[in-house]
Amino acid sequence: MKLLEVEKLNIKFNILDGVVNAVNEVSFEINKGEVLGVVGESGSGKSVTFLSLFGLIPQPPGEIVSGKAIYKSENLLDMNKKRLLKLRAEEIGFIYQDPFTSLNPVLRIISQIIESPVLNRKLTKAEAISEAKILLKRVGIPDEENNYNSYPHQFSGGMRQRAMIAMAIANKPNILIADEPTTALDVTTQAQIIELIKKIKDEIDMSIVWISHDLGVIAGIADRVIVMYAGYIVEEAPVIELFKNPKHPYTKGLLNSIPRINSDNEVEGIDGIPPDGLKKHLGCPFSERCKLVMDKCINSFPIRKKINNHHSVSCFL
Amino acid sequence: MDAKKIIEIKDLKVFYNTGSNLFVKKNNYVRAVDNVSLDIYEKETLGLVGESGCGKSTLGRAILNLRPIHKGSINFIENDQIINKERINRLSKKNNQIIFQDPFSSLNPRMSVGDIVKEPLDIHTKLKNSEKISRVKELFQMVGLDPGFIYRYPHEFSGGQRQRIGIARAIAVSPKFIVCDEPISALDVSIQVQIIKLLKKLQSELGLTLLFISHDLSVVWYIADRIAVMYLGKILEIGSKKEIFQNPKHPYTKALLSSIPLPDPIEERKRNKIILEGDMPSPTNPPVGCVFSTRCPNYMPECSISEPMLSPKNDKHSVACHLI
Repeated sequence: MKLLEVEKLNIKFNILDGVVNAVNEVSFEINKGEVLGVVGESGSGKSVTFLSLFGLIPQPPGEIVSGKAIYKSENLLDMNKKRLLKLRAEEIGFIYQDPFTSLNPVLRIISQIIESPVLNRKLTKAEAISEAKILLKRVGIPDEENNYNSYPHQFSGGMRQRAMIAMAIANKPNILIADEPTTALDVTTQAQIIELIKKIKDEIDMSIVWISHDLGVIAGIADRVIVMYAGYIVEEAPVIELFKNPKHPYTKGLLNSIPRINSDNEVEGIDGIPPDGLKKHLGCPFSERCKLVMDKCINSFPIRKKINNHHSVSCFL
Repeated sequence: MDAKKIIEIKDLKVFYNTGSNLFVKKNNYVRAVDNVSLDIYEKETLGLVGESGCGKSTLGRAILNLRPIHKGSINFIENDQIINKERINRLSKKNNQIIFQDPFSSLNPRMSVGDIVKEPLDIHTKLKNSEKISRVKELFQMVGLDPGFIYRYPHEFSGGQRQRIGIARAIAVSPKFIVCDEPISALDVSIQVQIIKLLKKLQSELGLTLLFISHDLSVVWYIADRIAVMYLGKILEIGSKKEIFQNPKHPYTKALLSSIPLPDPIEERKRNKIILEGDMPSPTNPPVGCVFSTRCPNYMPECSISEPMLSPKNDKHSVACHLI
């Protein structure tokens, strides 16, 4: 069942140096209960896409040029601010990359968690606090050493990310947007957090959008993956298919960029540098770095085609 | 091992004093590096892995005399002779260089990149200016940059290009030993490969010895010959790359290896991960006995009484654990 359907989303940023086309003709859907992995390098538009849907990019300089995002038969892009605020509070949860800057440093952890339930579900403070305590226990923050009355700086990175997860799931969202939730953490803590989110997903039936640049993390958690490059979706496929049978040269390049442990295969990588957002692409945005570039790649844009029911790719090959 | 030893570290301790204040009377020390002994051999790449705060960067910087040493010694060895570091500081700086993690803050924004790469030549060589400039151009070519770029400034370059500039600066005076302090963790995946390939190429061309500090184990697998695993200021396990990855002995190494996400959905979902509980304890107040005892899945009472010493298992592998 489709929960959210995005069609031909275009977003640009008007900055002093010109126009950055951050998101171009992006179409995808999120199904109920699935984990959608979004992969791309910095500047590929993966965060902007999801933040913009819920009114979280500043406008200006951002501008949603065109597109539709249908959620429960309403277009998110037409909603007014008040309606969006309510929707974000009640149905969407967010976990951001940096647990240090995304918590308020002058508020106690528990006050930050009860804020939304008190405002939106009209719980009394006492009700919200007892609910928050259960929540914190569930995300693995034990009630010792007066943990719940601590401030964010007293927590380690992993603990802060746990607190943020508690906040995100406080109102049992339908969709959880996890924007690089483990990038700032150490590997062993990363493993803890991934395990925790998996466990919570089984408990409350929600869809997750997992944005990451780490293909290893995506391989472990996603059901379906979209690969973004220069603001375009260049490939979309179920996770096993994508890793086994990648079609787009960029996806192949990314997979070849990771040294495989216990194998002596040479890593290939991708030549060149990620494209400059200010430059406008006439043809395929990856053509400058592609090893298999042909004449038509430079002058015309490859429209995303379906290879089979689930796998689509934007490449002339 | 028949390779020549070039650096010998003995019982090294590097502590940071957190000072006393109104509330804390006694001086507190962050035990960043605590009793580390380590040998580095000529032309090898030693990978130093561990989580943030384990002391790996401090160890790297202490070797370059960028951090004061509390106790212990670091000896540079040339032709089987120990050369004392303090006495020939300048020579030591010429021989030992560093590449930093953050390509944005490690280049002076007010200097042209040519001047940045030329600076070590100004200090350590007596070349004429025209010779220095041609050397800088040569270095730019070696790291894959256009020599025409030397009059540009750091902000005109991307992260990967800046890291190449940092590498050019490090190899400018033909050092023997380079500390690479997380040189690629600030870069995108596709750029990371370009930089490690460049480092690997330069190492074999110039016969460099590298200390490669990283938290990314797959990168370490690619570049290192030997690997040391650090936790809370101590080396828990050290051995050849194959031994560490295929035959890890220490419970921490095992957990670390099992937490690396594999880019293969079928493998990744099949395997049993060892998930450690809790966080790394504070280095101001490390646990008594084994430093890993508070999180170890194989904890025994003995572990919180006596500290296991790093002892050799075979000629390629040493472990600090009571189990082994």
